[in-house]
Amino acid sequence: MREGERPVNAWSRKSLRLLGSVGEPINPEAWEWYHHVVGDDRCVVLRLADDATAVEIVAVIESHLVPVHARDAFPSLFFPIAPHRETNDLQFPVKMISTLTSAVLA
Amino acid sequence: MNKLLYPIPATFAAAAQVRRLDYEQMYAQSVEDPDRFWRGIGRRLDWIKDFSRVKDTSFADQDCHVRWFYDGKLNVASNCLDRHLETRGDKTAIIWEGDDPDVAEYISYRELYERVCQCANVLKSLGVGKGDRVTIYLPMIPEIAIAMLACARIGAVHSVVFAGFSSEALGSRIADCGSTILITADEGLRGGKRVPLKHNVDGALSIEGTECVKHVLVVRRTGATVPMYAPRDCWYDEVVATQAKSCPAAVMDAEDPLFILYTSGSTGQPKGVLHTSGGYLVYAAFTHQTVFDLREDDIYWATADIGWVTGHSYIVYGRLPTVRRRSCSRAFRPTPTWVDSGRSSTSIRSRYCIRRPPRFVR
Repeated sequence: MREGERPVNAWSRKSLRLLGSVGEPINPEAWEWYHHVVGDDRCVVLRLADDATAVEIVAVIESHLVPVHARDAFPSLFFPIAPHRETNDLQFPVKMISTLTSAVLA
Repeated sequence: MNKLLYPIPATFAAAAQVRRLDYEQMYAQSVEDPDRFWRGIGRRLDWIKDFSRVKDTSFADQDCHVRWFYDGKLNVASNCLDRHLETRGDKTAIIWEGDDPDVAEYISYRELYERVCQCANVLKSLGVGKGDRVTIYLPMIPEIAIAMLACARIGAVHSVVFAGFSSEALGSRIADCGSTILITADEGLRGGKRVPLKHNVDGALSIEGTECVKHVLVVRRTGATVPMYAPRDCWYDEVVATQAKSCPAAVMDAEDPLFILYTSGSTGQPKGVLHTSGGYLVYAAFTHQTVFDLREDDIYWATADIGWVTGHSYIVYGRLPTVRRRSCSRAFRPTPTWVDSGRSSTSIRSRYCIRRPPRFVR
């Protein structure tokens, strides 16, 4: 973004179908730029939540599941986790994930 | 909160692997009958001995344990490699692009299999067996994925340490898990700058507690002259060259350890987080296919570093196992490479993947 659109527009992006971002949530301005400029308003933007790919859980528990969830800057919860979002209680759902860490070295 | 929503393009939605109806059915089952749901997902892998138990978890204070698919036996590397040899051995498994975008490597499934086996045979020749720890301190070059898969093949437990970490951070992680082998490179290259990896290793191994390391395998990345201390240090290319290109896959329990990855240490002493084989691979592969809507012949470009958990799951392990059912995604090549603003080519190359993060993405 800092360097403008030229570095992006110098490249054909026709082969792109889906874009992703992981780590800290990107701000709406960056998301819009990613969608409109990098993705040509055409690519689905996938957001993997930072807390969901933390070392202990290791894989996505929170993301868009295209095409079920509409695209925006906020991810939805993946499979057996969604009912608990309203209570913001991630403890039970995390138990349902097969990648949950097995041990922490003591 | 930004309420602006963008509809998913109809063509994308129509072609997606998990459509709304599937999702609602799957979702309902995952809540109402999770054992049955995960049993089906677990069957996506090749099991040497099929599992009959799906999970056994307890979060009680005095009895905390997490076990998935725990009476099954499998090999993670076989699931990533062997299952593809017959049908897609000559297809590209990894496209690697170097720090210099004109340097690239296309590695087929067969070649990847052979290189993993050779590395596994080196480890075995150095006495590494099931449960032994191997620390991997490599930049984003194909050998980092090869070394991880080689450990998985023989049941060794890898601990990847991000190649930007200092001697002290590396040494403390080696000492904590008691690695006997360290795999590194002469130097790394990142944005045109050289990173003195072997120098950092020598510093790390002078730290008390790292005497557990018996051998250091050094990949020639830049060709820099670095001190080699015999008999501890060996050039990686020299020791793999003489090894057989096949290696039996160890039969592992689903709950045998696959890897240790240390937390960053930003909230105190780094903690070694242990992940096991079956449940990890099932979930990484399942989410990589469904969340990313990946399918055969897609080129998946990953800009993350394998040194972090996203790289473990969504560069190495999630992408390589495939499902056998019709109409599901199978092998995924890594990614089209994007070249950053300092580079001058004119199209996204059909190459990929393991390379440094482009500066503009984050």
